[in-house]
Amino acid sequence: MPAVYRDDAIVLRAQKLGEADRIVTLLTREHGRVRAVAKGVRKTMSRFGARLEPFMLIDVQLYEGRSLDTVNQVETIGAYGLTIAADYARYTAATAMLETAERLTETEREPALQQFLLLAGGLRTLSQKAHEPGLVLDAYLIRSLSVAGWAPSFTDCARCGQAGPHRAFSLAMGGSVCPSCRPPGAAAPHPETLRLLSALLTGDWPSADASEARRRREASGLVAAYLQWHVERRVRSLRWVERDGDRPSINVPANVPVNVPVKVAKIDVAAIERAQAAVAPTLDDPEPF
Amino acid sequence: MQDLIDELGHLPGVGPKSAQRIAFHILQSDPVDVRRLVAALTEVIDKVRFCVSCGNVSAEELCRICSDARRDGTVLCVVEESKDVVAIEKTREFRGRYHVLGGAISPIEGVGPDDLRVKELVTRLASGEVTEIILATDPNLEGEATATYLARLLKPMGLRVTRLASGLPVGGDLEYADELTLGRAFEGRRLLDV
Ligand SMILES: [Zn+2]
Ligand SMILES: [Zn+2]
Repeated sequence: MPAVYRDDAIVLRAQKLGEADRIVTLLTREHGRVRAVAKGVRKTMSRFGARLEPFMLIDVQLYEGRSLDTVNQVETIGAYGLTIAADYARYTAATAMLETAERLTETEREPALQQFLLLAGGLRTLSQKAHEPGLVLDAYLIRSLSVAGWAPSFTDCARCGQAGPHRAFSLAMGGSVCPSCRPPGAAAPHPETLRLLSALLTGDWPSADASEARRRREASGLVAAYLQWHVERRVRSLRWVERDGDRPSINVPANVPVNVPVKVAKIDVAAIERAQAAVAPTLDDPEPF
Repeated sequence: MQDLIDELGHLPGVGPKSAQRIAFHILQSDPVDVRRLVAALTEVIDKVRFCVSCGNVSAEELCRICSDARRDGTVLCVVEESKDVVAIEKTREFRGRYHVLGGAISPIEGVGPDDLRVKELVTRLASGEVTEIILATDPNLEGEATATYLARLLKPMGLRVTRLASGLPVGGDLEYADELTLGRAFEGRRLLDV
């Protein structure tokens, strides 16, 4: 008899396997990152339905296996998926969060409670649409790196602790550095950018929301560089993240008519949310950021 | 032998163990059967290509559907794969033409909009013949996100953009439907003519 266990989990990845199955990568509350087979999930009659799609927060029962576990039962706790997929900027930000969580939980089955809570909170915040998706992503990236033991400093010197703010910023040294610790070639970001990063780290949303677009761009560049400095493999979804004010990368040819009355079938998120609200969560919702 | 196992292992849904099993099966088969398989494979790469207009698999430069004058050229159905064209054709419900993207936007797997046939889609719309686009990407989150991206891109062009309703599976109980499916079913609800 294989061992059965039950846990809360976030679906990080869902890959096709054979005709109708999937391998799902889950970040669980108590068992760390696990990979499991979901049998028959791609058949339209599957009892798992969309519960095993990326971004979903679920209550799952698994059979333990040698390398892969097997999904036995799934209930939804937080159906963040559709609200996220209904907005492209939110989708790309959320995907980068999932991939980062996967990278930062290197060893399978090694408990990573803080990473789980952080990701659940981040996805919930994204689905609530309270802040610009790029800001939520950067807040998540800074905090998940901090939880992983690479907390950056945006005020005091990361090396000697001398009280800041300082002008120089060094990825290798872990953030802001004082004039005497400053290595050659350190970056000199705008003071407002460092204040924004600090606000994202501590959850000072009024300041972060009020920041200028160019400071956000500089901040997200620093965060991405800091992330890549610490994780071995490239987080590839980062390059697809749409930032504030970005437009689709495809150019529309000049001869395409653009003045015809527009009739677009909108995804009615409000209706979906009403339908979702009718399904009471079985467990406490995660804390938003 | 190892080369064969490695090559087979690259096929979708074939793990190392299955690859080994298939390789040994080939080794023990009648050489005539194996040559027939080789001939079929060669024919596929030599003769089957992709329609220059819609991206569907085709023996000719223009596929059967694109070259059929009886098809409605004002409606375009956007799908992820050629096999989706086959599935929709079987329903006999749709008389327009198709556009095959070649997958869905999946940043975590390294696939962005530029890796799909999105530019080709936009170029196709330049003639102004197409007035309605049906987004029939897979009813999963990657398919949803791809539809979201395309709707936003196509909206300023004044096209009627619709998404295939994904309702509740016929034969199931409502209480077992998951939240996303139920949500989409609400969205796709229709007026009852009584
Ligand atoms: Zn110092
Ligand atoms: Zn064609």
